[in-house]
Amino acid sequence: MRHQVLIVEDEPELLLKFATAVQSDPLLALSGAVPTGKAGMALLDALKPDVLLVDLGLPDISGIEVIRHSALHHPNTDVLVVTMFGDDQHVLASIEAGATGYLLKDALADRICVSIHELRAGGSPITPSIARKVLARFRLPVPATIQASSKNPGAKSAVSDGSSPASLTEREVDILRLVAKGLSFNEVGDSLGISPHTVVAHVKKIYRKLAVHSRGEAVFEAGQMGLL
Amino acid sequence: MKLDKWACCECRVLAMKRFFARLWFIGCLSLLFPAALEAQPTTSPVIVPSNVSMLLINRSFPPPDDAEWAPVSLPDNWAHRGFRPEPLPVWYRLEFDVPADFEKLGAWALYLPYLYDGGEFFLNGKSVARMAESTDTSTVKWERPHLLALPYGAIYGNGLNAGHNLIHLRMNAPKPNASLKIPKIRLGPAQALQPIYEQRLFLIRTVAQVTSSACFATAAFVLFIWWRRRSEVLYGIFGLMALLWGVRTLTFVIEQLPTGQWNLWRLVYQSATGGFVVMMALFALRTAGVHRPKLERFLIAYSLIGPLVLALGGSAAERWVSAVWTGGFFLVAVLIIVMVSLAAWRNRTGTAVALMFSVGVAVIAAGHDYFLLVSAPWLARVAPQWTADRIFVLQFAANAVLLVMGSILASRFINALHDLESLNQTLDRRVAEREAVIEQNYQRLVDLEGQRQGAEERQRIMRDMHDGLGAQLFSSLSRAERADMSQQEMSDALRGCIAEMRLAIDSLSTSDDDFEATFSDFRYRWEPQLKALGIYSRWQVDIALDVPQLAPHNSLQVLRILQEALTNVLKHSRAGHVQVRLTWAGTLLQAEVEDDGVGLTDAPRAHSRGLHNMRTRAGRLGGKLTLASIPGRTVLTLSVPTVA
Repeated sequence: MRHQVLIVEDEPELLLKFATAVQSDPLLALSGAVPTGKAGMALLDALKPDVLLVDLGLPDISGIEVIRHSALHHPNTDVLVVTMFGDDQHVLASIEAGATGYLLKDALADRICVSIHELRAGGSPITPSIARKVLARFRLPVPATIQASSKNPGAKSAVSDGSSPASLTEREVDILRLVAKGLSFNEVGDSLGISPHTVVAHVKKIYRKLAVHSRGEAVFEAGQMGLL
Repeated sequence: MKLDKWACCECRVLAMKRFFARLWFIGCLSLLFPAALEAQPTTSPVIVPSNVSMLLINRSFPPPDDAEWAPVSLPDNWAHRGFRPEPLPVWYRLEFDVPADFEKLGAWALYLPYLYDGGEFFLNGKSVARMAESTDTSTVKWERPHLLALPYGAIYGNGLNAGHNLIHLRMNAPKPNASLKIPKIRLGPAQALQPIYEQRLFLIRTVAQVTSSACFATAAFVLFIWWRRRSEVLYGIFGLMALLWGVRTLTFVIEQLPTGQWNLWRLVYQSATGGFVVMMALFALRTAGVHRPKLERFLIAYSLIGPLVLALGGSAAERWVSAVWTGGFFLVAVLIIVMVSLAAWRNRTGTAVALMFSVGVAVIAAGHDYFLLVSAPWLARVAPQWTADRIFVLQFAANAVLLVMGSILASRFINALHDLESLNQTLDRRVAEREAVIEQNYQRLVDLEGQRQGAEERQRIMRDMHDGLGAQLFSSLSRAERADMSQQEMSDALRGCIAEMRLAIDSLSTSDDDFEATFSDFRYRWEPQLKALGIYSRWQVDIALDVPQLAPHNSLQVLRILQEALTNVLKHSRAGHVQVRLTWAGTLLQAEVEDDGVGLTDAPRAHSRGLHNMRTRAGRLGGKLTLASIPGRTVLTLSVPTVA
């Protein structure tokens, strides 16, 4: 069965590039390609695709909203956010909204399809600085580098607190720390005695937990501010 | 239980109150109404022998009645009647009648308000009491009153009889130039005489003891304050005054000493008296705000004359000293009165006025004591009864002066404390205000610094974009316009631009100035690229903890150089392996890129331009770039100093 892919991208060149790439892959099917967020959401509800490729800078609404909508109503849809530079802020915001992967705008066509397949297979990409940011979000100490010696001394409790659905397991924390050091998935897998596939699967789980964690924090903060 | 206790306490408090009230009452009365002392015994059968006579004769037992007794009256002050006989022992003979029922009134006694030189009493020819007298080796001066018991009844044989009785008083010859003073002698039931005796004992002796003790305690306290704060001269003066007055008042306490010590004591006494008056003058001068160092020196010198004369002249000079030198202090007293009046007029405070009055009273009292001491005849004529009682009043008046002075100092002290408190409050407020201002200024500085840093950062980013991305875009554009670019070259150039931009964003977006974090991202981006072209990369980072860091913009420059180096490896080296090593040597960051490619010989032009770029960047960082290349091994080494 081929994976249904919906593309939301306002720039025609890129829309064309992504659509072409998807269509050229025998295991992928293009279910839709729209330039606005609202149209994207409508198609998302109507078609319930397997994969959503979404740009953040849309003309009508923020791509983050589209991602949030998808994560909320279509949890089985994998969201790949399209980013210009893969910089932390945008990617992290997307992950917190519910995205589990990201794609660089200058990626070559085969890379686009590989990313989609990896995501469908249960794995997510992660850069060292995003790993750092994720650790920071969970209030865990960043790996033992120069500046990270004692940034969050009381952070270990967040790990052991396994009862919460949004807290990380020790294995996940280990992975994040190794990735943050700049190690490749292979090296991470080697040093932890697991396969690279397991590593990326862990990363995807971490992303999901981050989304839950962020929602929890948002609820908590809203409660603090008297909004709820 | 409790009630009982309270009741008991109350009783005691009441009793004490009554006691003090009586003390106070007696004190006032004795000062204001001298006659009060006399008023009491009229109701009791107190006998004042009226038939008194005297005889000068060297004899140890009472002379017979038929000897040449000369009638005198008591009190008898030889100085008043100008009596200066041969130095012979003196006998006084007192006749008196005792009522028949005298035994019913209890034990009888003889009351002496004073008898400075002591003597021996005989009742009906038999010695009944002896007060110590001055001898060659010992000197006495009895200030306290005496109540001598008179024996009576059969077992005493010659004891007190109903009817006619005789008392003989024998005294040693007075010292040359000294005169004897014999008080009015009273006899009666001890019960009746006891209160009069105790009253006088209190006035003369207890008050003196209390005064001395209080003065010494005050002196110790005030002099200690002065010792710790030398600038408070007034405290020093007051402390010395209290000390001297305490010493001087001992004259009512010290009654009997070996002669050598006695002379020394008189020297001390005169020094203390003179010193006290002079200190009082200094105190008055200072409270009046008059500063006359010469006058002060003169006064101090004068106060030393008396003791000096006494030290040189011995006891013979004492009469001159107490008459002339002591008299001279009345001029000092006038000065003191003028000064305290001036102070009262200038300051117009209650204490200053009180000081004026108390000093006035003290000067009058001192005059009184002086004339009493030198046995001025006119005083005996004006107030014979009072003169006979011989009560020296300066000690009461001086106590009042000391109290007023003490309260002046105490109020100064309290005012100083108040001033200090308000000063502290003012200071606190000012400090708080200053702190607020400093805080504001600091905040302003921080803001300015932030703005300055922001401006610098913008400048740097602009320069980076201009030099890096801009230059690359312009050269690509001109080549594209000349149609000097294949599609592959074009997309390569654009990818180069994007990589450049991505590097800049990576290194600038790192919120923490962590070179290793940026380097991790760098590695993450490069590793797949190299691998895609069949170059296997090894990355080695050797960074110890707590080493100095690179500033973010410097990180970018270092990574750019590394990027350039890796791009060269990628494009030109045809290498199979590349190794990137990062080491920290002290304050030096060392980055090495080593490949096993063909070396530099192959494409010198492209290499040299890239190298030139890299060298320029390294130079801007204050670093150094070296290249060692042979076919099969090319090592590019970058050394950059870190910021401390």
